[in-house]
Amino acid sequence: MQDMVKAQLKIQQMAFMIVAVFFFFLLIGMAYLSYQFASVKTKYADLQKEEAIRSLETLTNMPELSCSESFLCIDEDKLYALSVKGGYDELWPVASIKVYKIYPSFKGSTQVKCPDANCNYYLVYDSGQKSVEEYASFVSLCKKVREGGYTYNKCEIGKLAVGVKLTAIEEE
Amino acid sequence: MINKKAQMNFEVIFAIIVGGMILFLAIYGAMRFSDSSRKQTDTEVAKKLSVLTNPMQAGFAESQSSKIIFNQETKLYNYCFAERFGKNDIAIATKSSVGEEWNVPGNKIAIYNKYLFSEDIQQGKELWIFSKGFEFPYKVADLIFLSMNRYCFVTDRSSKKIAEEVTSLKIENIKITESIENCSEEEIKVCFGTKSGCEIEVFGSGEGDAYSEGYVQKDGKRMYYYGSLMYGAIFTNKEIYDCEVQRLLYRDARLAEIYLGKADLMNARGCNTNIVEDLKILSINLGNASADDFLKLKESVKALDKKAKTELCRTW
Repeated sequence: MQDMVKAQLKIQQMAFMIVAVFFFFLLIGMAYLSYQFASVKTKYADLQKEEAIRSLETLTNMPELSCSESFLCIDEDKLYALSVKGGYDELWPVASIKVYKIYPSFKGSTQVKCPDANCNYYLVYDSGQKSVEEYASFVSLCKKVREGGYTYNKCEIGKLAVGVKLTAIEEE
Repeated sequence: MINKKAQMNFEVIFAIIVGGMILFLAIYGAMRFSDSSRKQTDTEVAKKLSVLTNPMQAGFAESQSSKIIFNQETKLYNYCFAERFGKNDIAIATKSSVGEEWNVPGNKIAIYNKYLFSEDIQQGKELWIFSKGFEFPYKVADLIFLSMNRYCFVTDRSSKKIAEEVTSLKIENIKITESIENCSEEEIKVCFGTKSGCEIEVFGSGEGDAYSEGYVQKDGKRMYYYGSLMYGAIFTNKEIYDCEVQRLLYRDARLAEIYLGKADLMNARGCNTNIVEDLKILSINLGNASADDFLKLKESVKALDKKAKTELCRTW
């Protein structure tokens, strides 16, 4: 009888130990998994940022925006046509695209969206996402003109600003 | 008398059963964890590949080439979707010496603004990339060619320009030779013009530059090309090729609308252009075109390009 009680106690002791060890490893596992998830999110955000920065050059070279002849140059006529038409949403690799006219600077502090008169910035695309981080680069903003029998590119200084797109990875 | 030695203690039986369960759970958990880690790494690699191909959009350079070396044997999956601007989905699976040799590929990474020409599944440790601009008649996009195979281009006098281009780009996985005997077993042989006996055959029909247009015969299927699409037809299969061409035609049609807007603005400020009507027609034709209509559009595109290039105020 005493042996049986002893055995039962030992089983209980072992069962408690097993449960304790199980929970211990479960907690360690959960801590590791949450760290992993955080690191995946950070890595994803870093890659998105890297893509946005690289996109600055990519965008200026895209035929929808670029001038035909120069490097880091945006065609103002194409910008105008794009800001009026739209419908290119899925093509842009970023969350937003804005082009500001910097020099000769617009008089006054307010931002006037093109194609309005005396406008000073073009909104090419806005996904409507909040908490978008913007990266910018200076570009030439040119349009072709013909004056005094000569055809040339009349350029201003502009700033291309792109926002980081925060899309989810597609599940298989 | 009970023989206690022959009996198994209950504690031992209990320990064996529970211990076995814990061991099984631990091994199962470790395997699941290893699988998800591989999937995570594969997804990261696919995303990095998407970022790394950004500079390959040649921009002002006519073409560019590069090479990516993976740490281990890798499978690259390329899926193409042609609706509207379409997209390429890429996914990566890496070979492992632990557990299953090939894991299921990582999550697909969608790429909307690039045109990736490659086989739908290819395997290797080195990935060669090169890009080339595509004009129809204006610049539409930079085409990106991805390959893990080695090729042997068997050229003749008429394809001298192709040989020069490949040599100047230093594309390591393409060997240029004038005789098929110089190609090795593992290389995919590509014959140009009069050369024959290859897996892939390229026939040019262009005036002046013979291979500026024509068709590529591969796996018994014919793929018509124009300009740099020739490499696309060589490095991919008919399904992906047609899908990418469809995407390019849609983008081309949308670009025609932008150039129409530009032409109107130029005309309004006295920088006159005479191609508005041609652009309108091109925009409609491209909008209704499929990959099979590609050939029919070629002539009108060439005529428009000729007209546009003679103008003082050039639209592109």
